[in-house]
Amino acid sequence: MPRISHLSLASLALLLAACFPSALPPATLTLAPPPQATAAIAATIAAPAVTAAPADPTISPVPPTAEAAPTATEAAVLYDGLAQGQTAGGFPALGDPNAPVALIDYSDFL
Amino acid sequence: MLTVEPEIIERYVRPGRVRLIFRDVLNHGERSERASEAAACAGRQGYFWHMHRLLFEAQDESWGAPRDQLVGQMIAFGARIEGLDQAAYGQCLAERATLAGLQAADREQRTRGVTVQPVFELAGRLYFGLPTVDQLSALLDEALR
Repeated sequence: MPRISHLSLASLALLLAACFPSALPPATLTLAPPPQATAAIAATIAAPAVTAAPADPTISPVPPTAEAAPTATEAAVLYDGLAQGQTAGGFPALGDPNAPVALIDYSDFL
Repeated sequence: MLTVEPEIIERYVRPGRVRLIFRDVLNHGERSERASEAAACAGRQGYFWHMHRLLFEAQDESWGAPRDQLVGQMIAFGARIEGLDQAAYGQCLAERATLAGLQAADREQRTRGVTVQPVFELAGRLYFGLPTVDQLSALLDEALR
């Protein structure tokens, strides 16, 4: 049986997308593009502690603990009743420093 | 952000399920820098999130200010925050005390692909684009399992 090339699979995907556009996820939220598009992209499946190079060398590990680690000192001023503070890296944080999940919002104020 | 973030704060941050962290992206030169400095300088007094909200609400004012009046615009924003020590805030802005740290963070995150905004990082993965509340909620629910 002949091997199906990646190009053939890609063409098939495009054809299906054209016929069934509603099957695609919304365009406003995308995972990081494949490594060949942007070499600097560093998205990875979460691992509790990544110390060694992952199996896929194009995906760089993002240490999940450093940024989310709570600091010992928290700002006294509340924001809408919520505790303000900083991460170990000095980035502003809102909410319980011991919350199970940290969500990082990278944004420009403009 | 003005529609998504407040909802996420109410659903996840307030109940203690998620901690929200902000990292500045400097994509618009001096305008971005001045705005981020305003937030950081307010943050030195514990008013980061107050200024954060104000800056997003007043984006039109930030864009409309002539370049040589950006600092004045940021000072005017500070005057709207009750409790903020205006003198200390203004000195922080004038000295650009927070700029180096903001630029360093921006450089570092660009090496990881954060060159647009907004970008969200959750459980070690980057998500590009502005999600709907439902989309972001789905991701958070999955991470909380």
